[in-house]
Formats: sequence, structure tokens, C-alpha cells
Amino acid sequence: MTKLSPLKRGVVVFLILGVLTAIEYYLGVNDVPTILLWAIAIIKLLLVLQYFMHINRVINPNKGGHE
Amino acid sequence: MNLSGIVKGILFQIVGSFIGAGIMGGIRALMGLPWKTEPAIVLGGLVGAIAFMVGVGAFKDWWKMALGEEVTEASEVVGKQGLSRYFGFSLDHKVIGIQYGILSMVLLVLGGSLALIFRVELAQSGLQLLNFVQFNTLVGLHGMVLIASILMGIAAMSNYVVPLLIGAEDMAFPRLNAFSFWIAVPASIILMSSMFFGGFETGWTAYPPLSVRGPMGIQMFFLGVFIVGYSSILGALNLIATILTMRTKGMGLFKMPIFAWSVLATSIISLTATQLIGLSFQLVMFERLFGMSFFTPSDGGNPILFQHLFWFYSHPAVYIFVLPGLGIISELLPVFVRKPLFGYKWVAMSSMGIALTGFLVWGHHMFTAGIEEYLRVPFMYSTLLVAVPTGVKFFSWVATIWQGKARFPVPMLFVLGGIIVFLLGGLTGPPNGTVSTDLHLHDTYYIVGHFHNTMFGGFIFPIFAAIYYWYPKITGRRMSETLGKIHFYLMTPSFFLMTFGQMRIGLLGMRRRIADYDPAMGFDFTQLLITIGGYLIAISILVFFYNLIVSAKKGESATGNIWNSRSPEWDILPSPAPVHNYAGIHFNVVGEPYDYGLIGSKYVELAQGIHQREESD
Amino acid sequence: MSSINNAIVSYQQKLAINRLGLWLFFASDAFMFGGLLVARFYLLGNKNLNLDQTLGLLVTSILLISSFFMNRAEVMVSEGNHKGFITSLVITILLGISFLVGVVGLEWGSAHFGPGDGAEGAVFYMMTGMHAFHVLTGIIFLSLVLRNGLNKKYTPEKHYAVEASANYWHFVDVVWIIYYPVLYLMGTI
Repeated sequence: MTKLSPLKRGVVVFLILGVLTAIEYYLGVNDVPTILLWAIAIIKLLLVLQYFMHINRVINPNKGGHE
Repeated sequence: MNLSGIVKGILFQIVGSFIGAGIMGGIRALMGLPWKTEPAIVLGGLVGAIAFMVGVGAFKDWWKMALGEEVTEASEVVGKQGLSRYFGFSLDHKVIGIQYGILSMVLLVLGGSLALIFRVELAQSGLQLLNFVQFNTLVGLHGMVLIASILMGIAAMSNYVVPLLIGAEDMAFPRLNAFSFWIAVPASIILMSSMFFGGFETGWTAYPPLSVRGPMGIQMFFLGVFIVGYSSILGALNLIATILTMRTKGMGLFKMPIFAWSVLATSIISLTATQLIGLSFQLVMFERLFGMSFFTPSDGGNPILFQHLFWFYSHPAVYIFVLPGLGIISELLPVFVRKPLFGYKWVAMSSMGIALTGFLVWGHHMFTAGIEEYLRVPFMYSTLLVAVPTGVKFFSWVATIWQGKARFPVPMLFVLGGIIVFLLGGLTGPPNGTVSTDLHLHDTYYIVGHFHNTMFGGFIFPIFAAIYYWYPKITGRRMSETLGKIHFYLMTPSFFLMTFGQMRIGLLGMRRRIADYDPAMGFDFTQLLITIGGYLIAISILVFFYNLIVSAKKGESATGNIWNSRSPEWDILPSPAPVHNYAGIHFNVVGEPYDYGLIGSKYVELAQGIHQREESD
Repeated sequence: MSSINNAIVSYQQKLAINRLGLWLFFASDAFMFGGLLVARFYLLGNKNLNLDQTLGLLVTSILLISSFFMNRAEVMVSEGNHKGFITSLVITILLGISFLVGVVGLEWGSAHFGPGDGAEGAVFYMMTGMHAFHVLTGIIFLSLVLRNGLNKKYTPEKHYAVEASANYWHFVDVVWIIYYPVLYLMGTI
């Protein structure tokens, strides 16, 4: 994913999040074990932290700069 | 008219409170509801606090930034000089540190006086002075006002000292720093005002369901604590950012003065855990205001939930209170015994260890509250585990003192007093953390004695040591040694009288937060002794204040490195500390911070030839 | 020459400090949201709140799409695409407002309990209310960024305010990523 341009990366991440949300909804209305819902929520959370919130920028401050 | 910041702030707060109360009255009138005081004072208090911040000028620069305008760099803001700078909005961390100190001491006096009042009531059996609600209000406020005082006190020490110790120009976020101080002023006023809205009956822990039903003074208590909590969170955020990013070149984390480590550990707890006490208080506020039944069992709520949320902060809070104090002890001890701090890395890590273990122990306050049986033993073990890192600190101090060339000026006396009193607090702790003994000791005066030991040993003694030690850095003058010694030798035995008395009657069955007791229990004489001990402590504190104020003008002049310390604020800077800490001075970290007695070794050294380069720039 | 270099270095340094401060704030705020999560499971356990699933999915999608446009806005300002930045930002704000209307206007109006109706009501209104409060503040921050953006205050090199409010917006989204399954999907009725 690092090779993609930032705009395209945003689209890809968004699509993955959308698909995960759809799966989550489907599982949720069909009474599956809660652990699956937690797993999906945590994957979504990590995706947002990594690609939208750029958590690396604060962990590796030397990289500096925007984008 | 040029009013100083604080006066303007308080005027704004008064007006804001009435506006807020009026708005709530207006909203309710529009909805066709009659006037009700409780929601009105809550909104009034909140609006008043914000109005205070507007009045003091805390939002001015942020407003400009929000509109995209340039603001002056904090380091280039020319502040006022002289005494008046302490009464207005200043961005200098040294000024803010002293402002915190003043607020802490004011709250210390207020909170202490509350105790003096209810101690008179307790000095003999029967009711003489107070009714039950008044007594409970005083006890609860004594606790919370002094907690606020302690939070302000540690903020004072960390704000003033940490940037100087790590060679920073200021804190990471100077405006946020000033904000977190000033928000605590209206918060303290709101907290104290709970007395005038009917008081409250719950003590400082504010357990529901009593806090859901009692008089509405509890709302002001909640609001005040909530805002003080925010002050503490933002202050902690600032300190973590400062310590992690603003250290001078060459000062690795393990070359920092040890006090910075303990402040880092403390700040991690107050940054995160404080949210939980804020949340728990907010939930009770909402339950009272909107009938949201979080804690009423008949409506599906559960009061134990409150205790979980509350103690998740309020136990680690104990470590927030004591860690900076223990850091002060580790910082000052090597200076006065002229020996390296024993096991520097272990001491640094023990602060972190206490902070992290502290998150896992909250349940030990709830052994008798009806929590699940299977939770008791794990919480007992995690609680006793705290003794391990704390023990590391004690062994380090003992080994540091061992064969040292001790000097005994007043700061050293308070350091030693702190060690002994905190040791007593530490030894009286495990019986409370062990389930079988806690079932007997819970909610007795033994607990009161125990935590007064930890608070005195972990905060009161160290902060006095810190004040006597860094006072010359602030004023350029020393505090009187004679008066300091009177203060110490009066306070310490009086304190032991008080705390041993408390623990004795506690073991015999005296309950906490009770205005009266049966004369047949035979507590009257010990209770009288406790009261006398309390008053003697108050007198010794008066001596301290006299010393503090008089020495500012008449103290013996002390501009150099009077304690022979290796740390940069004494070794490099003159006293009083210059306005721009190390501006134009470059120093390198060339050694270990505590190698006292090692001939020829240095911790910091002025960089050569830097001055010319600065000028040609 | 060296003073220009110094200015760049000091901007970089400040950027790093500001980012750290913002993330520390997130860490702190996350504990508060975590506390509410604890309250939900402590009081309600494995109980489903029986809410309107269509509305839940709708508001969740709206917030997710707004997060996507927020990311585009931030990328575009760093690429110097002023027009795209403003457009994406406006879409983000509008979606944020529709989320608020969806939760506070529709969901609160149509839920089968009020805030005073037992633990379910208390937990649901507290959690959605606290989240909505954060959305509201996010919208305020974004509106200020929009105002300054229209005045061309941001350059591809210096736009920390955009980055910070974008991060805040994503943080609010992250909270909802957890709250959505917890409030709508988990448990049995």
C-alpha cells in the first residue's frame, strides 16, 4: 500500500472499511459470537489509525513533514 | 481601569455564573417548568468557570490562532516583572509554577482549617459544635480540597523545576500550561461553594446512592472536581510532551535527573486515569439532573459500577500524589549525603513500575462492597505487588545514605522525615490490602491514620523539602534555618501523635466519617490528643508561612550554588533564575547526574566557544 | 541563511511536539470513552438494545464516508490542490452535520426509551450523547479550518491545523467504529 499515491490509498482503505462494515452488519443482525464483531471492529480501528491518522508520524517523529 | 488578571477573572466568573443560572431558568421557563435551583447552579458553575477563563485572558491567543492570525511566540512574549506578574496570565513556566504553589498553599490552609473545625467536634464525645450534615460536608471537603491542594502542589514542583532540570526553555505548550493553572482557580471556588448549597453527606468518595439523593451541594463538589481533573490532565499532557521532546542535547532518558522520571510516571497516570473519576462524577451529575439511572438498582443501575470507575482513578491517584514527592527525596538525598544515588536505573524504573502496577489494584477498596468473590484475591496480590517497586526506592535511599557524609540543613531534615513517615505509611498498608484483615479494618480510623501517613510522607514532607531547597532559586534568598528547624521539630512529633492516635482508636473500632462516638468506647482522651496534634501541626505551618514571607525580603542572600548540587539549575544558572532559563547558554551533558564524591566528574558543562557563535549569528 | 534553516528545523520540531500533544490528548480521551464502554457492559451485559438497524447502518456509513473525504481533504491540501481541499472539506462538514441529525434528531426521537427509562436508556443516551458532543466540536474545528482555508492560510508545507482537525475527526470516527457494534449489533434481545 505504500506504493500507491495517497489519494488512491485513501480510496482503497475506504473500500476495505466499507466491506468490513457490511460484513459486520450482516454478522450483527444474524447473532454470531460477539468475538467476531470485536475482531472486525479492531481491524477497522487499526486501519484508520494507520492510514487516516498516520500514527507513525508521532511514533517516528524524525520523518517529519506532512505526507 | 487596569485590573490584574485574577480580579477580572473572578468578576467575570460571578457574572458568568448568574448568566448561566439565568439561561437554565429561562430554558426551563420556556419548557413550562418551574424554577429549580439544582440545574441552574450546575450550568451557572460551568458558565462561570468558562467566563473566568475569558476574563483572565486565557482564550485570547487561541482565538487569534483559530482565526488563522499570527501570535507572538511564547518565548518572545514580554511578561510583567515584579510581584504583579503572579496575579495575571503569564506564559513563563517559572511564574506558573509559583502560581500553582500559591494556589496549593491557599488550598492547604483552607483544607487544613476545615479539619481543625471538625477535630474540635471530635475532641470529645457528644455533639457540641456541628450537626451531622455540616460535619460530613467538612470531612468530605477536607479530603477533596487537600487532594486539589496536592495536585496543585505537584504541578507547582514539576512546572517550576522540570524544565530547569532538563535544560528546556519552557514547557512544550506554554499557553496550555497557563490554561491548566488558571482553570483550577474557578474550579477551587466552585468546589468550596458546595458548602453554601446545602453541603453533602458522602465524604470525598461521593458514593451513590447517597450522593444521588443527598443535598445538592454535591453537584458543586462534582463540578469543581471535574474541572480540577481537567487541569490535572492537561498539565500532565504538557509535562509528558516536555520531558519526551524538550531535553537538552545529550540528555538521554537515563541521564535525566530522577525527579523528571517520577514526574513522567505520575503524568502517565494523571493523563489517563483522571478521565475515569471525571466520568464517574459526571454520571452521578447526570443521574441527578436527567434521571439517567446508572447507579439506582431499582431502575437497572448498579452502584458498584461507580466504585469501579471511581477507584480506577482514585487509587492510582495516591501514586500521583506520592511519586513526585518520592522523586524529590531521591533527587535531594544524594546532594546532602554527597554520594551517588544508589541504583539510578532501578529507581527510575521503580517509578514506572509503581505507576503501571497502580492501574491494577483499584479493587482493594471494594473488598467489603460486595464485589465478586473471585476478584478479591487477584486484587490482593496486585496490591501487595506495589510493595516491590516501592521497596526498591527504600533500599536505594538506605544504600545512598550508607556511609555518606550527611549534612543536615532544613531540606535534608524534611527528606529524612519524609522517608520515615512514608515508611510508616508503607508498613501500615499491607493489612489494608489483605482481604482477611481489611474486612476488619475497612472504614475505620486505622485507614485514616494510614493514608495520612502516606500523604504526609509522600507529599507534605517532600514539598516542604522542595520549597526550602529551591526557594533561593526563586527569590535569591535563603529561608531562615532556625525557623525551618522549629517548623520541622514541631510538625514531626505532632504528626506522629496524630497518626498513632488515629490508628489506635481505629484498631479499637472507631469508624470514619462519624461525628459522634459512644463515650463508653473510651476514645475521648485519644481523640483529644489527635485534635491537639492537629492544632500543633497547624501552628508549625504558620511558622513556615511566616518564614516563607519574611525571608523573601530579609533572608540571607544566596545567589550561587549553595547546596553544591550537580544539576544544571544550580550548577549553571544564577539565583534567582533568569527570565529566559538557558537563553544564550549552551551546556553539554558530560557525565552521570548523581556521581557525587567522584573526583573530577561533572554532570553538565558549559559548552566552550558557543557564545561567539551566538553573537555572529 | 542559517536562520532560515533554523526556522525550518524549529517548525519541524514544533510539529513533532504538537503531534505528540494531540496524541496524548487522544489517549486521555480514549480512557473516558473506554469508561463508558465498561459502564455499558457492566450494566447491560450481553443485552441487545433493540435499536433501529437501518438507521444505525445509515449513520455509520455517513460517518465512514465523511472520514474518507476528510482524508482526501488533508491529502489535497498537502498536494496544493486548493479547490479539491475546499470541496472535500465542505462535504465532510455536511456529512458530519447529517450524522448529528441522524443520531440526535432521528435516533433519539424514535428510540423506544428515553434517558430516564432504566439502565438501557441511561447508557444509550450517555454514549451517543458523549460521541455526538465530540462530533459537534469536530464540526466546529472543521468550520474554522474551512474559514481559514477559504482565506488561503494553508500551504502544502504548513497546514498543521488541517492535519490536527483531520486527526480529531478520524478519532471521533474510531470511537464510533467501536461504539456502533457495541450499541447496535452485540448481544441478544
